[in-house]
Amino acid sequence: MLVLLTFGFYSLTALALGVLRILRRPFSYSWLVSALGALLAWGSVFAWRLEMPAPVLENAWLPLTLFRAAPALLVDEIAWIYGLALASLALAVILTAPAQSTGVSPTAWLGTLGLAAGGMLAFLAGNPLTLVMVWTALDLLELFNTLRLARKPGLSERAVVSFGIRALGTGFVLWASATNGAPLVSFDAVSSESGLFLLLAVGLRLGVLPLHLTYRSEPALRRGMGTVLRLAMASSSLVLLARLPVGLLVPDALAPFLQALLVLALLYGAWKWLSAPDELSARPYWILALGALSVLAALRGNPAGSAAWGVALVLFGGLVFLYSSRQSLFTLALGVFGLGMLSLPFTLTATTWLGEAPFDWIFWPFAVSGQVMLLLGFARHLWHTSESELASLPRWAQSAYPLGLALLAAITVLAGLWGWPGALQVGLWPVGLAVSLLSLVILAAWWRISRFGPFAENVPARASVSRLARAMDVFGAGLWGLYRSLRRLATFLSGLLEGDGGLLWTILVLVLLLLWFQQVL
Amino acid sequence: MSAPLIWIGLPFALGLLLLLVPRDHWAAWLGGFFAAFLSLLALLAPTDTALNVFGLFSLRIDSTVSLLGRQVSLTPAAQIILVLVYAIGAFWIFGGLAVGNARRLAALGLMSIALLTASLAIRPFLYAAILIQGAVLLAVFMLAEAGKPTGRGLIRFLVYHTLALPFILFAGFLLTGVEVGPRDLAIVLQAAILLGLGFAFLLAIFPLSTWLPMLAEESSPYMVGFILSTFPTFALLFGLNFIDRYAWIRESQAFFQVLQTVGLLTALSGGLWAAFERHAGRIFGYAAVAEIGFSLAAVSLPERMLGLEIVFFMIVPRALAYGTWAMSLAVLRDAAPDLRYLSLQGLARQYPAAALGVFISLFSLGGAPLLAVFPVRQALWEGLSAQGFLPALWMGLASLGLWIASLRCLAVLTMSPENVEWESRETSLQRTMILIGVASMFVVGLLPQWAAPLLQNLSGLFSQISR
Repeated sequence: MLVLLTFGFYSLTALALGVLRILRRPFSYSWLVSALGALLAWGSVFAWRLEMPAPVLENAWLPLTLFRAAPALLVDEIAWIYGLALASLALAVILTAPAQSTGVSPTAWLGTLGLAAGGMLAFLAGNPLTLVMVWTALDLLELFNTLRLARKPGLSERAVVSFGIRALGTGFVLWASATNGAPLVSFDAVSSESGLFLLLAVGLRLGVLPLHLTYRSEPALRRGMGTVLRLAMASSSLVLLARLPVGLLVPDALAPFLQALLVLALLYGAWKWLSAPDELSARPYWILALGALSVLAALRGNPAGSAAWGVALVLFGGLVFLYSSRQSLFTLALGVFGLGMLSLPFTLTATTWLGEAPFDWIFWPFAVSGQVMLLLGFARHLWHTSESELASLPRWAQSAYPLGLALLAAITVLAGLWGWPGALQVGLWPVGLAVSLLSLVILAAWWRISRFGPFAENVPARASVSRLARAMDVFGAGLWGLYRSLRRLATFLSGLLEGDGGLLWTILVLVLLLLWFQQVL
Repeated sequence: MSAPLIWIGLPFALGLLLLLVPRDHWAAWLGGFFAAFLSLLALLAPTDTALNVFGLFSLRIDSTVSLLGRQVSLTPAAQIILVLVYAIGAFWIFGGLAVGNARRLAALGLMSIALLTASLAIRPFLYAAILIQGAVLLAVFMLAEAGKPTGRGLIRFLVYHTLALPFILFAGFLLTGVEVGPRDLAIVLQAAILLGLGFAFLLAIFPLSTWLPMLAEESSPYMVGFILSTFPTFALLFGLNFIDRYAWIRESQAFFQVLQTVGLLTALSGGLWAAFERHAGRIFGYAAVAEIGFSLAAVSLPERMLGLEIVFFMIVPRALAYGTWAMSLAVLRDAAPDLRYLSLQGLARQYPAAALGVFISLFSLGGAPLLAVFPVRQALWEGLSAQGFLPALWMGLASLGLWIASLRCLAVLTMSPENVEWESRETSLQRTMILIGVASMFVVGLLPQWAAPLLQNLSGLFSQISR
């Protein structure tokens, strides 16, 4: 029940923010209340450990003859580590908010806390039924928020398309549940026939598609709440992979093809992440690459490794996306913490390359290259020009900003050492070593020739619309064309049945149906 | 006191009186409260049971009266229907306060409900067809708008329902004496075909469902919503009575196979046409077609009791979705020249509650998680999947069609010109009612166990099917 404490803090904070808004108090009050609420909620996540693993809440749906599954929340170590990462991110977003060059927004803090609570519900989901319900809640939250802020019709349309794609992902879970022996009652009951649908669901729900960003014209939201939004949505999907039974995800014959696809996705995402002009426009690629790594780990029968990538997505992503007032010392420090992404022993990602299922040797160099590019991109994006001067801010804001970043960095270290099955692990250290050496050599070489930093600033903004995005636009246009053709057919048929001769056509169809039944039965 | 008098006679009489009430909102308040009272009474005072009222006196409501040599009987098993139907009636009548035409809805709505309730109570139950026809005639008065030409949808609604009557009555005539088992297979076959045609007309089964989108396009969305949430439900209950009564129907595997195919075909046609439609009102009609199909598919499940539970469970979530949707459409219809997408484009910025109502209602009917229809729709999907891949696929495609329709509606409603600020032009009553409807869909979706006590008597209502 201690889990409910966290949600209590978030709810009370939301309530207090509402009251402050009604009373029209200055934003500093709202910030203080938000920070305090987020801090208490973050602290309460540690309290979850006192009663773990345990069911938190079960809402029995009756009659049992009708509903085989019912919503249930369960706290365990996977939920805890994901929950800690997201609570840390929410707290960091609020602590760093005053230092962001794009201004402050109590509404965005409220949204941040709401999204954190929603994401945590997904982590705590005790069965697929609960997970799909939380997913839908998060999707609706994101949809309405995006629509509220969209100033152009194109953005509204993209928000709806993005929602539709994620809803399709949810639909795949329901389909798998209904048809392929993956009942919504328990994660353990998933069969290998349904694994592919679940992987599709996770892929579609990562929030990467469509690749154009809806928040391009809303920088205030992109940096703070946008970060929580994207990372919470992605991690709430990835958590499913850590819940699935080991070794049952897909049939053996399919595994190599899927591994190849995932390695391709990793390489594409990591390259785009590395070469993008700034970290915010590269965010979908960060999610794509880490999502691919997480799925790959799950496919190899390594749920802890999958969770490690999911948590890394939130924590390291938070570090780089919230880092806007840059100073050399901070950059260096954060760069050092970035080593946690190298799969070295006793780091957060130590377990990521372990796995029960074989991984073809031909994929290893590409997978390692992908990981190296991710780290290089992380380092490169830390090194951009500062968006705002920390020195010009009030003293309290000057203290809060590094505190927020330090909190995230500290949690990356803590997650490697304590609290969940992926902690204090040696892992597959030769891979970690190879990744580290390669990364260090390339970093040193780039540093030496001093092209690294300027390159980041000089890439024109147009480059961020990638070929893949354009290809997907073409694909989308093709689908739309097909839809319009089918619509013409549907309109023609309904016109036929509803027109003056409609009754005759109706009788004809009826007779044909009767004849068909006669043949079939 | 007798139950038929309370739940049939009084509401019919009050409906007549409400036509004379001078103000719309008086009629709506009176009618709404009376319907709510009848629902509560049905819940608290089962028929044929002596009740001690506050220790002051004993009350017993007799279930049966004789009328013109026929029996009209509302047994304790019918409690669930009385509770649901009058609660839904109250819901619609109160909603009429926000969208106008409240008196017409309260008066004719109460009378329709009374006649439809009588159709379930009359013995022999074949006479139900006549009572349903009476309700259809009342519905025509509800749907026809003064000063406007009668639409083709309304005419087709009347014609199709009227055509159902002779088919069903003649089938009943043929079936006299073969209630237990078929003595003469030829007669049974003829009766089965007539009965099938009768119910195909009555239930708007594909391809006889064309009147639904046509009516939804032409008539007031709120009136259409009321019709769609009551008539198909009672027609289905009437059909269930047939299945319950005749052993040769309920023991025929072929019948349930045909029912499943027809149900899924109807659902698929509704879902797919909704996905391609560009008129929000017509989408309403197609969604109703899909809902009828889902109900038939539920009845066809081999676990008959499960099927019945699904059918009954769907009534309230569906009414909630229809009610919210109809009210939202009525608001948008007042704001735009018509309900075509071209006219509705960008209206969400001025009518956010109505846009939300349209989207969430349709999304709920599509079976989206978290919303009212989801728990029972998923149960149906799992039940159909156990029958094979194809039924599951058909149902999945039907639901997908409704999802696409809801997303297209939302995309159109939110596609406003650049830099238009958000505002809310709905009246506060409209806004409140739509938001209550939306919130209720979430609550029912999260806590579907509310209906469990009501479903307890189901086996008594259809004693043979549930065996």
